[in-house]
Amino acid sequence: MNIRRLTPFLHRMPWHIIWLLTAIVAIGVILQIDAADGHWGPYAWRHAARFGIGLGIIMVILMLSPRQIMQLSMAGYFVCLALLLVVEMLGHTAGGAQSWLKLGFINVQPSEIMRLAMIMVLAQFYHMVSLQEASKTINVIIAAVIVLLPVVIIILQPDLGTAMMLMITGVGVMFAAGVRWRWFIAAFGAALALLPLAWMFLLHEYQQRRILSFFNPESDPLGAGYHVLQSKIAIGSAGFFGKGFLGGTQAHLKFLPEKHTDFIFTLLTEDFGLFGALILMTLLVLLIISCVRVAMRTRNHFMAVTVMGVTWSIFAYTMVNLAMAMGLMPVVGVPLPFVSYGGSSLLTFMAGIGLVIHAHVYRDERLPGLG
Amino acid sequence: MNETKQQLFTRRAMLMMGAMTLPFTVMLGRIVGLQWFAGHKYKKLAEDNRISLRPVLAPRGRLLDRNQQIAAYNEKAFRLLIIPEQKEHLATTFKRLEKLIGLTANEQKKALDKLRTAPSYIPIVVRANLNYEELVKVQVNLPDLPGIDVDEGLIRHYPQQTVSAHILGYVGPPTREQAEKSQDPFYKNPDAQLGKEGIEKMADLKLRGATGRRELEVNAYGRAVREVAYNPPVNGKDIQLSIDINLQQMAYDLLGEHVGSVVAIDTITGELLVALSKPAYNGNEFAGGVPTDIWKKLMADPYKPLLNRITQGIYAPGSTYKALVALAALEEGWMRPNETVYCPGSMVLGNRRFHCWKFEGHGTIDMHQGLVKSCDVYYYQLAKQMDPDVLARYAHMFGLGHRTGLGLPEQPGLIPTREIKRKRQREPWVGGDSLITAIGQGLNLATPLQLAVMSARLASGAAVVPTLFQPESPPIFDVLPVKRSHLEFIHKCMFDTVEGGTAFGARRIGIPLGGKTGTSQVISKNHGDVKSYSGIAREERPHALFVGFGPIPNPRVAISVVIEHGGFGGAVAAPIGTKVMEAALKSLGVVL
Repeated sequence: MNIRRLTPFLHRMPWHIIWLLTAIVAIGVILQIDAADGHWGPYAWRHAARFGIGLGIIMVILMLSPRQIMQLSMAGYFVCLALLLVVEMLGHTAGGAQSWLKLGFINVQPSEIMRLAMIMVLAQFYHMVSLQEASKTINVIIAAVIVLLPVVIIILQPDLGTAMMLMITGVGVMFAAGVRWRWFIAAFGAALALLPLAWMFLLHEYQQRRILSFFNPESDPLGAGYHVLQSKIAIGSAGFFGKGFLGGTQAHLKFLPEKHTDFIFTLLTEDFGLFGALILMTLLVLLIISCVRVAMRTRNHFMAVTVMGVTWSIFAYTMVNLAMAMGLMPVVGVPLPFVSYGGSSLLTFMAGIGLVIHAHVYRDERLPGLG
Repeated sequence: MNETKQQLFTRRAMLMMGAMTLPFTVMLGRIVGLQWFAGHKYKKLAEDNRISLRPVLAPRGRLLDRNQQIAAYNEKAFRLLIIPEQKEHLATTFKRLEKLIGLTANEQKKALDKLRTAPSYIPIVVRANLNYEELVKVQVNLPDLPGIDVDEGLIRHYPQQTVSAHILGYVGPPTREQAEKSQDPFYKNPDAQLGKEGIEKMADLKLRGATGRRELEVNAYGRAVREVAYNPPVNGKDIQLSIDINLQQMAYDLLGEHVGSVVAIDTITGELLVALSKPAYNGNEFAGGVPTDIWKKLMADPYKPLLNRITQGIYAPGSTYKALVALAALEEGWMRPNETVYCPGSMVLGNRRFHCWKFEGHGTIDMHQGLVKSCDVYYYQLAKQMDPDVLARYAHMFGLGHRTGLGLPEQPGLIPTREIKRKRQREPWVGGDSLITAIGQGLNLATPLQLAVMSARLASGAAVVPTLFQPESPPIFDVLPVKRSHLEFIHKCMFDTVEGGTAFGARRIGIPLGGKTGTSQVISKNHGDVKSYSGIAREERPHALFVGFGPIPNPRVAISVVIEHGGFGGAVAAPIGTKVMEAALKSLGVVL
């Protein structure tokens, strides 16, 4: 770690990414104020403060060399794996699932950090192997084990949403790294075949109810279908410019649950309308495109794949969150990146952006290996 | 990085960029779809979520007596409530309340019933009338009674308690059917009270007023956040009654331990001044819904306190009928006033002997003496000339044999005719039927109200119609088609009855009253010549009756008194009747 290392690269800073990030988090802060009926507490100031911490994390990441990052990734992966096991054994119960680790002043969700660690370990793995070797059965199995090890532990917590997102992220990384199409087709087929078994043995009753209620939310408007129905009412009744800051009746009269976390997009749309949704979605699309461009310009395979993994996970979280809020998907507790309230989520997504910026700054550095 | 790896990565990255941007248009399309194609539906749903319409109960109108004294009003009362959304361990809470204030199993069951149907934010009334001691006990223990609260509500109160119960009636919550089926917002109010009996029921719509409406913005838990609109209720109207609660109280006291009724009526306006039935229930005990234990006790009471004897008690009118029979005889010429009859104490018709109430007989007696002394043999002789169907016509003319139209549930009574006898008993009318009909026995049945109406019509010669309300303008009743002179003769006879006849003991010094006593047999057992019924079982004693009016010659008040199993009419019923009449005349300012 060397402060002087940074200066030559300062002119390479991808300011547009930082501005996009800041704008999206700012929307998040505004919505956190909105969610608290116009107050900075308890959400907004914490969200803003975490953004500051996130910037600090980005700075730290930038001070590491690509080589150091690669060296750290394996260690990070195993530390996270250990933490997940600890959580599984003595974690707190939150929302019917154990996923929090109380570390004195801060609650850490190891499953969130694991996402980044897993991306980097996979990227490192694909950095090491040649393109031909990447699609060999043994290597696909190794990659699958890297992904499934944490996924299984997280399913046991049970936090199905996070496990699912981790899996999607892993698949995205493998795709970006160049694993052949036939493996994805085979995996998709296998997943379909295993679905009924997963339904019976993996899902808790409340999870099954949520999924069933998705197909007919009006059948049980006060029960399991409540969230989705209220969310659709909020979005549907908003209009182009929305009901105004603090004006949404669904959110502010508490018909809309989880409005500062999982349903924050509904809050945005109810109060700021299609217009507000359009702005946030545009910013997110621009961020995704910018990140992909960074990935394509990065000359070492490790960082390129890492950036694609980070981008893909931002995309996947956003899409699942929006689909859920609009009633296109069963309710799974997945936050909207950078906007939803929640420390682990914001900090890991910002750390991910830190990796993207790092990749941009050090794009010309090469790393030992086959990359 | 080797070249192919770089190329493949770039291709995959491009592919993923496309895959990551296109779905956003799908999401955008979804929002547009929700807003443009289903926006109306969702706007309405959002509005339905947000606005809650709550009924605001109008205070029920009061019942005032003819002198503006309060007969029924809404008293502030402490109520025991359950707030459904705050309750926990209800069984334990109920157990504690059982110990504290004797919460009954029935109250618990009712509360549980309401809890099942009511929304969680509307408090449920468990007991509507906590007394002060209970209030304190509950308040002190509130921390141990989660979800229980005490507030101040309005409860119907009858200051006279049981005195006017049958006339005033009582109120109670609507039936489940009413609450569920009716569109009237009144029924949507959890505190709604409506008239169940008596005037409370008759005048219910006026007393209720109009339910107001509060439009509240509510949050998801139903808790009000803000008032959007308020449409105040229209208070129920006070109802001015014809009765005089002081006279009611007096009649109530005069009846003492007796079971019976007193009805006094204004012969000019038809207003009922006194309408008392005893024993009675206490409407105050019913205000929060009738407690089962009290109801059971009332139902099992042999003196039937739930029966409104004024309109639903039916009695043989007995000798009180004789004035009417005499008038019919004059009108129809069955007997001339000065025509005499010899009464040896009984009369034989066919193979049956019919007794006069006086064993030794009245001797030679004319119509005047026949009525004043209430000689049965005189009326037996009269009955020989009498056409029962014609007599029945007179009875109906004077208000007997059909409902008076007061507005409360009424028994029609019965006035026998040849046809009625044939239908009821499948036997033809015989001479003996005429005899017992002429003395008001046999099939004759009348309610105390009908007897009072008969008395009022005899007094005024007009078709007086009884009412419980103060008329806005004095009503004009049809004059009955009977000769004035005949009526005046009857008045004279009845005056003499009080002054020196069977009701002699009941005369009021200085107030000229007319009256007729009656002692109506309840079983066909002849006690012979009895002077007192004190040694005879209560159920075997005859009913004591009295009808009357005053002052003579221009009567203003008419009365009927019926005392079940009271014994002699002259000894028991007449003194009560004349005392109430005197008080009524004084309160009307007719006599000083």
